[in-house]
Amino acid sequence: MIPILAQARFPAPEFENYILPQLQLETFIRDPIVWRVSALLFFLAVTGLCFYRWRSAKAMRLLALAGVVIFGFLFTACPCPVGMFQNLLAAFVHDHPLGYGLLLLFAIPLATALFFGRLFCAGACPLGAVQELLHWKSIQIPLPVDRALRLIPIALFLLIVVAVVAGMTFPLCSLDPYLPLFLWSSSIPTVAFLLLGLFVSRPFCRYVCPYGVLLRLFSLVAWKTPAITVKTCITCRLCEQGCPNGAVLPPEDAPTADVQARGVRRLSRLIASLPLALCLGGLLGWFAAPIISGHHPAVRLLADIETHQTNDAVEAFETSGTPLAQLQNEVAQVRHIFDWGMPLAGVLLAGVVMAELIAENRRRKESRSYTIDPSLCFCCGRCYAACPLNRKREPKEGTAS
Amino acid sequence: MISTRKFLRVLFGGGLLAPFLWLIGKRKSRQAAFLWQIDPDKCIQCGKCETACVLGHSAVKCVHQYAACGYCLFCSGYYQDKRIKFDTAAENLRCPTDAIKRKYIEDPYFEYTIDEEACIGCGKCVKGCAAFGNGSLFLQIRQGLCKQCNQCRIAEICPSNAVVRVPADKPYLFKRPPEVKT
Amino acid sequence: MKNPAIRSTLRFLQKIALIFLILLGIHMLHDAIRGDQVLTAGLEQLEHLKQQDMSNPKLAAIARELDYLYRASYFQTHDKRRFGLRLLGVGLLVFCLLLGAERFFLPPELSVPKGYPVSPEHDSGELIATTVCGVVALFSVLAYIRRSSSRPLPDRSDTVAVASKTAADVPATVFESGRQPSPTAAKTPVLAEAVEAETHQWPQFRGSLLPNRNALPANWRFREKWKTAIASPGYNSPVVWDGSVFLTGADEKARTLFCYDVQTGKEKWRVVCDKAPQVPEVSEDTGLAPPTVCVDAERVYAIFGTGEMVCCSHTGETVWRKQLPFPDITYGYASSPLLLGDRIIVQYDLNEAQTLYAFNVLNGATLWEKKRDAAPSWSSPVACVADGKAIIFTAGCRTAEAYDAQTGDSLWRLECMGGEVAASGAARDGIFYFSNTGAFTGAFSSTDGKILFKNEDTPSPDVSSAVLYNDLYLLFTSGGSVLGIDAKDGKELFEENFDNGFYASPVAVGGKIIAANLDGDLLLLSATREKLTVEAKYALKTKLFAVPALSQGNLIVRTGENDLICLEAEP
Repeated sequence: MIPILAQARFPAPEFENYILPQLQLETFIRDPIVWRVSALLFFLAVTGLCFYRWRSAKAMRLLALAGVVIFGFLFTACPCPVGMFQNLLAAFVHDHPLGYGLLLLFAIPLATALFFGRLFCAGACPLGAVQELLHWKSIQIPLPVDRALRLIPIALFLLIVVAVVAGMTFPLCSLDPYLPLFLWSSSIPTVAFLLLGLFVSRPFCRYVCPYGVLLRLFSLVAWKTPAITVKTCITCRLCEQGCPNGAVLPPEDAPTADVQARGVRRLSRLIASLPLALCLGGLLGWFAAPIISGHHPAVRLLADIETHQTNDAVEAFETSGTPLAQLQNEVAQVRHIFDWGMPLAGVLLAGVVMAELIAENRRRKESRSYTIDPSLCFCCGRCYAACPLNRKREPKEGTAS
Repeated sequence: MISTRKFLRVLFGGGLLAPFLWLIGKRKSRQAAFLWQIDPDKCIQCGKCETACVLGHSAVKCVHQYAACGYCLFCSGYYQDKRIKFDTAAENLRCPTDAIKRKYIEDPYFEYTIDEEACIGCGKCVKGCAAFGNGSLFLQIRQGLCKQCNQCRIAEICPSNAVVRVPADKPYLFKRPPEVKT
Repeated sequence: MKNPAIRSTLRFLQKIALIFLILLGIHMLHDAIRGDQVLTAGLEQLEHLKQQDMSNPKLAAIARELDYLYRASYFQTHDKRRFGLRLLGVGLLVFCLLLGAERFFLPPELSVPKGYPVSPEHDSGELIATTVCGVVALFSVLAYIRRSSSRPLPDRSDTVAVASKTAADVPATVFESGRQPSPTAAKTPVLAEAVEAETHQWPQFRGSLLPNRNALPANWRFREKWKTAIASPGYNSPVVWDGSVFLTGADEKARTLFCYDVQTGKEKWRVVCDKAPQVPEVSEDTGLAPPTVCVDAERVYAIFGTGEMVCCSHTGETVWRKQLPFPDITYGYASSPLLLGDRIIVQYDLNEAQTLYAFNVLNGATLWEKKRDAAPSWSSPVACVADGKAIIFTAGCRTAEAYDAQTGDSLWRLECMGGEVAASGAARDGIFYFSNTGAFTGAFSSTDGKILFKNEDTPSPDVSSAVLYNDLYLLFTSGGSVLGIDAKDGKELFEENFDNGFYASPVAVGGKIIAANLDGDLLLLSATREKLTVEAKYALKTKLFAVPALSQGNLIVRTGENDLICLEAEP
């Protein structure tokens, strides 16, 4: 390609006593990824010890503070839960550069979740740590609303997978409200989320974070999870009230025959309507596909060209001299991906919704004590502080096992 | 003996991990450090760099490749199109923040330097220089300021896809200097 | 203090911090939305305005104002935003610490499970505390808003402001400077003060405007401290600032400004001008470098017989250059420039047109120029302060004319001259004195041009300029006679005759007069109303055309053989 700019309209003059200044531009110093990975490993190990061995809410608080300082400000919001999986996907689909360091940063929290639950969220995640520190008074979100909102990350996750595969630049990164904070900058979402976070615990983690979807999934089968000892629990409800994230589930009575019958009826209906729901989800995705794909830069550019609009992008395209057919080809591919991907994502989302509903109406065992949902627990340790027995206990005979 | 439950768990966990392992194995480019940079040959000076950057003051600044400069008396990056006089009065100048400094070298040549403190990366001068001059002024992401976001917000909205990733050992994309006369 | 008291105090402080954070957050949100809108709108307006016809001075003035406002508000907005963020950060930290302190150091408070009866304990104190907190936080946010908006504007890029800091940074331009000065711009010295400023330096032709305070040599028995041959010829006089001697020399190939070390006589640097489009024909005894350079604390200004002007820093870096119109004048251009604080006055009287220029010292920009109908002359301008303004006196071959140095307005004009005027005037106490043979000898009131006296009978100088000494006006002629006339009424008091004539202008320093004649005698003179006394004489045995300069008790002399000599008093 011929550079369009470096014209020599005016030849450089020949000076006598003038030395041509050299352009002095600073270079990138080095990649501190090794430090980041080792810091993450060490930090997760300490988090695990504090959470499972010492069971200290204070220690978890200190860790959150350390996490903000180290991973937030020192490493400028790395590891970033927003960007990591997009990078991985892009590396696979679009040959996006991805080093081993970033791979490890992506994999270590997931591996931890597979064994010990969401320890990463407690302090090593800079966004989580900030929200953890800046939570003042909890407003409990009503359970149905909470459940509905919890679907947002899943929907976002699916959407972004499709978008990244279709070659959209990482669409979620601009949604990250906390990044500007670590750059000593701000945006409107930053301030809004910080203020919201004062009253709603971890608004981003619970209702936006797409990496959290993966962590939730992995922590479901975690080898060791936070739990409440059935034997000693006095069911005082304090831990349930103390948990701002709704991870402590109350005991359930054994269902009466009546309730059980109703449950069975519901379950059978749900299962019967499963194909319909999946179809509906797929249909929804199919309808949404053109709307979403319209935001793809190439699609937008072609639309602008076809409607004879003039803007910067059209101008740039015309200057670059790329043949229109190439663009049309690209857009067709993008459309193709969206046309297949979006219905698929819709089906998956509908599947998740149905799975939740089915799980809700499953046959229950009677449980006397409180339980902790490991997929919702951010390992903040607040329940340790709330439990009246934990406070009196000797170190070894705690309420949590 | 492992219990069925445990076995199922392991199976589930393995099933979760497998696609990621597969993805990891499939990736092609393994170089770690890549930086964002503006390709000056693609840049159309739309002015979005100024506002899109996550930093309060954009990491994009105008740089001046002196070797390509014509040292014009009437610099079209310095003066705006409809100037009346070639003086230093505000109405005749292009830069909104007065970041271009002009220094007399010898008749009739002037040296133009960018005051990086004042430069906001709006690209107005770049546009002027590209339109009527040698194009020796151009926008670059200053690696000392750039935070290397995973996704550059400027890249996201750049209309000409001029923000690209460059290897860390070649952090700047320069324009070709004009042919040197012999 | 007991735990509950500490806890309630911490909670109180937490509330303050929280309310502060929320208010600050809301304010910053508002600012972020509004600030960007205002800036974008402002820039659009400015860009739109710039497309209008800018030859209209009113529009141009508005554009400058808008440009200044935009720049100021841009950086102010960003500074404020950064400041607000820092404040927010500090607030968050305080809040975290308070929160942490409560949860960390105090035993957790047992909350009452839901469904249990709670005694209706209403704490009226809490309500009051919250109200107080709110008010305190509100005021602190208000204080922030006030504080941040009253911060000083960033001192950005105003040409004059930058230029007055360092000479090397001066944006050299031969054009007018018009960026709206920012309020913090350093003020250029007030003109009147500049004229009045007494100096120990030897900054321009015939020393300085007012009686020079340099010390005279300890005695008049000299020995040569150093001697340097000047590389190119010129009839101008050396000037001295601190450790440097400046003078010029010129031939047809190149015009050069030289700088010598005052201690050793070694050449420090030279600046060459050789870009003149055309070199005028000049007579042998004028040459191409008759004007003496002038120097201030930062820069040296030189003009040549070719109309080239150059301004350098004291280290020899060219700050600006100019080319004046081709000097078509009989004999050659000879008038020395006059330095008046922030401007240089050049009397540019040619055969065809006569102009008086004032140039900005910083960048050579023309501050004003006045066409004068004055016939050609070779005289240099002088200035004095009267009525609170600096007045420039010029003598031409037909007219004497005075100008306001600030604006260039002509204050008065008298057609009283004749012949060929080469000598320059003198000024004291609001009165201009002038003497040139065949033209005029007398005094003018600087403010209205009233002729205070005139004396048409005395022989007058035709090369050197007469000097004021106490209540005398002393005329040194090229024939060798020295006349003393009364500075009040012009009555001739005495006449002394020397063997040889005077070309170099005499100067009055330290109660004496230093004069140099064509014989090469350096004379130390004093005078009373009755007679002129030769106090001492030192023979150099070379023709002297240039005014000797004084520096720390040494005499710096440019000789007829074009050597520069430093004479040191013998111990």
